[in-house]
Amino acid sequence: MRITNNQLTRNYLTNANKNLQYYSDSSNKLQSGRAFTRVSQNVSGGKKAMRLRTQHYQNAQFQKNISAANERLTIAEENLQEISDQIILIKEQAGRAGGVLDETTFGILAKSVDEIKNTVVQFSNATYVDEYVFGGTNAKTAPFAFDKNGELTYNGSLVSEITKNADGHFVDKDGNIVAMTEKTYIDVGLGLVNYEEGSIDNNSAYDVSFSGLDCFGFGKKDMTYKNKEGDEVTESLPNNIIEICTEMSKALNEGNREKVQALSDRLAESHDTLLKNVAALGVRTNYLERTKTMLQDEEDNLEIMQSDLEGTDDTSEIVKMNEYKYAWMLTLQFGSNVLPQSLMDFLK
Amino acid sequence: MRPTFLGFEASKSALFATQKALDITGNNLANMSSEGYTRQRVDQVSMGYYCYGTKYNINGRVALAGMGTNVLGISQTRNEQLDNAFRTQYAEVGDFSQRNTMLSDIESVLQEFDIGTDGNGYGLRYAIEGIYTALQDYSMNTSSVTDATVVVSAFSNFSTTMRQMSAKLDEKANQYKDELETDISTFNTLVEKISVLNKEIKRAMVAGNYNAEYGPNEMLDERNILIDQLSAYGETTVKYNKDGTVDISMGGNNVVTDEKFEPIDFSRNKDNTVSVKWRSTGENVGLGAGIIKASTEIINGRGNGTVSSNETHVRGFRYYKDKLDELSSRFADVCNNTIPKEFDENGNVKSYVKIFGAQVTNEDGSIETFPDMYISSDNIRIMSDISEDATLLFTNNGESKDNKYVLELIASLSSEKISFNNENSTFEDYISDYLTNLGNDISYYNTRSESAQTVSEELLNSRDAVTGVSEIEETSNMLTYNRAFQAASRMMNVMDELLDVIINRMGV
Repeated sequence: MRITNNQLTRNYLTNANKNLQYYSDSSNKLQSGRAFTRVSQNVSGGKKAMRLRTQHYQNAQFQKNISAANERLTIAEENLQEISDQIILIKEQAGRAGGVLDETTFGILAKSVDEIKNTVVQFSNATYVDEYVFGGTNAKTAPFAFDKNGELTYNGSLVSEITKNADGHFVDKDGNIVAMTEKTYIDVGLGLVNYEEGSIDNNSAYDVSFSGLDCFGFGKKDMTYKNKEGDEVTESLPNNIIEICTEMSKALNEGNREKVQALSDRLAESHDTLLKNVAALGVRTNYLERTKTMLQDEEDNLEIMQSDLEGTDDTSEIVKMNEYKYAWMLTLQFGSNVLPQSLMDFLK
Repeated sequence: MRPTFLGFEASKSALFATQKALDITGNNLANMSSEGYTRQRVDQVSMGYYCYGTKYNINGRVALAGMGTNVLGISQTRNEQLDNAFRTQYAEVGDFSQRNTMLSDIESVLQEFDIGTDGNGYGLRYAIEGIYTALQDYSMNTSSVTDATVVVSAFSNFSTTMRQMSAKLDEKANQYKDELETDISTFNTLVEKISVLNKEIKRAMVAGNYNAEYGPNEMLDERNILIDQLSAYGETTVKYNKDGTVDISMGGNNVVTDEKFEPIDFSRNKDNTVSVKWRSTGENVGLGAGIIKASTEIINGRGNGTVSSNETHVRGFRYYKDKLDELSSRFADVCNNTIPKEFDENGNVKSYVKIFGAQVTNEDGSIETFPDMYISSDNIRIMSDISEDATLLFTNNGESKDNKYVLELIASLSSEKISFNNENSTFEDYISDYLTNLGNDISYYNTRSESAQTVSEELLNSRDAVTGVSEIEETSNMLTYNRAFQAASRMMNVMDELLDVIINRMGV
């Protein structure tokens, strides 16, 4: 077969270009640290990498959400502790009332109960950042307030008339749902989904709402006690701690020791409820902590998977690059011999 | 009895022949690197003179033998099969590399994967990520104006990114339409030139007394170069005629016949497609493989969603534009029907907050957005009222921190399967699906283009082996002809001496 000069040069150039291309691609991979920069360079890898990236940023967001939720619940817990301490103080005042004989002392006790009540109201209207911790979904106004008659309202409804209906919603005496007592949820990676009709599936998000009504009590319950004369009296006494304070202050001013005692017993029940809520809070913060740890582990795994998939394996890539460099040097060295001597050079 | 000066004639013919042969050898060496040059050979034959009845005319038979040599013609060797094989392959090379280039350009527009410095792709998925994180932060505090503003700017970023991507895709499509127009005019020039050469070769064949074996070599070479270039545009079949002209047909249509040629007309249609038609018949051009076919198919390519008869089933510019349009429309649909604006007396939703709308530019340059118009990737824009006042996102004027609608929106945008025309998937998966399709296509054409390139180079080498100039061969020919010349001139001397003896010394 005849060999022509054009063939030799053409082959040489093709191979030289190819070698240089491999070398340049390899050194690019090393410099950028990325094994591929386009989906077309590694289709299955690219698809997986996109999915990993999504999981990664969602994971980071869930951790952020959990931290914020934890802070909120911690603040709630602290405030509840404070209120619990105040309740103990109230019980002391009530206890003292048992041994008091004259009116002025009663008056003093009543006043101190009033002051404690104001402190409790302050704590129950506590804010975290710019939201009311115990206000349900109330964003703008303090949840616990006194109306013009001096009665306690929660988000505008009288606390003493609030009951829970069969669905678990708080309703006032007309059966209307108390304003802004819905739950608030956050997405912590439980797989947030919507129902067919459009609203979210409550089991797929985490409830971070905190109901002031549950913690401090609502509505009224009958209580029987023996009055001064020794008769049995049944009265409908409030469950709410603040309202108990109001009633207690009234009873102290009247000098009604027995009522004070009955109120103190009711207060003990409400205190129990409050402490149960504190314990429940502890359970929730624990759960969130565990979830956060799990998410952190998942994040570490995702990062490893991502770097395995998208990153260059430095060791093997450097070896390859050196091979290509060597091939390129050979090509250059051979270049001067690509058109060997021919018969022409030997003619005399 | 022999003619007296026969010897001189023989040697003289040898001198002429070897001089001509050396000329041709020099010509070959001079043209060693000329493009498309086919090596030329001198065809020498021994001269013969034969008369009737040699059995009865013994003297004639012997006396007139040895007339010397004659140059029949200067021939060039070409292998038609190799030529055809190369041209067919070259059409494939042109086709696949054109498709590869065009689709890679589309990929660089739709790039999601890595165009940012921190490894993030700043494409649509990144915009969706921005919306997701903004909405999550907002869900923790739905009465915060700051968080709502961040959400609004995340949505705005998405719509801006979408419009930019759509505009770039259109720009690229227009670029390739321009390029196709240029390619078609190149094609037309080539066929015209070939037909002109046909005419000139035919004339030269007559004028120069050429025949089928010996033709006007330089013109033939020129025509071959043009046919090689033409073969990149479509599958070429060449038929060689006795009068020296060629008939070229591409994809079954006669493109060059004798002195006539058939140009192509290019036109842009109103539905954003292009039409490539034969000028004389007005029918659509079907060229088999090649640059024109590849370019047209991808410009007009709409995948399975073809609407007009001009569109093709290839996944091309129209297909990806459709994907962006569908994404915009569904995305806006979800966003515009989740967060409620007003409730009626029973607590049911009366109207929703409209986040996206279709932008319309008025004559005075002002822009208005309409949420009820069809929203596509060209015109998606955040509503101007929300863009100026983020508190319009609030439910109940921000009195309540009820975040269930925000969470609903988050779920719809990230994990819920939306029903598109051909699939049910999340928004991000929809994007990654069309990117994967594109990546697969590019990867396939890249591989085929490389292998077609390799095969075509091998064919070029084979062709060169037949038609190319080899230095060694020319040098050895040079030596041969040089020797022959010396021998012939020596022979002349000998003949001269013989005659000298006869004329001057015999019988003196």
